[in-house]
Amino acid sequence: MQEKPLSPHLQIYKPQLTSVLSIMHRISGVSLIAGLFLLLWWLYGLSQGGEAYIYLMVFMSSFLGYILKLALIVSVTFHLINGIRHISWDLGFGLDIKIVYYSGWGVVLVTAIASLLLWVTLL
Amino acid sequence: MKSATHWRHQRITAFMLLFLLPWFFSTLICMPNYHFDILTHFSKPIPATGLILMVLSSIYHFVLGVTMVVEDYVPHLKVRQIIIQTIYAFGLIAVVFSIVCIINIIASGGRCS
Repeated sequence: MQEKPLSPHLQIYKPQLTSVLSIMHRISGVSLIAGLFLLLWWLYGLSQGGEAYIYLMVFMSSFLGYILKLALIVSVTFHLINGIRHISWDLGFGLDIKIVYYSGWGVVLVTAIASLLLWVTLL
Repeated sequence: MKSATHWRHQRITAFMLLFLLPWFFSTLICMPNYHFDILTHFSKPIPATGLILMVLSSIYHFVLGVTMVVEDYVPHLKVRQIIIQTIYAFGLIAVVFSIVCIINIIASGGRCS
């Protein structure tokens, strides 16, 4: 691996919707490691059954479990919906600055609604 | 890995997850939250295939994404390499572990132990 230049650090920039959503995409992505661990735990509990599954259910209905569930639901919905935006940019659509702002607010709105729905139904 | 390959694989897994994650969550929502029902469902061939694809593309997408973040923000080359190797190791273990679990789920055929 050769030495490559680093990206400028975040505090250099004035926060705007575009940059905030961009860094939120990364933060939500990295924080989804918790989701990955939970998924592995779920697979383990499901495959073993009995106590292994009950431990998971007990943990998920604890206070910490609720907080984790809420954080994961918000992270995964935001990352997924903002991901659609990123893929459309990669395909060359919606790159106009006005549309970027519209889609940005759209992502915020849809994330809020979808998270709420998931939170209610997955409870 | 070449940067272009990294970029392309990141997009391919993202596109897969765009369908697999809503499928996974809607399956869970539509099902009673009992161990037996979930086990029986995911031991069937089509749901099990979906589950394997979802888990593997999630892990791969995660490893690719975090590697990129580390490359962007960790200045020291040696530290960066160590973190990236650790992420790869984690990814490998996660892949093997999840496959073993899913084989168990399929082999159970919906019978609780």
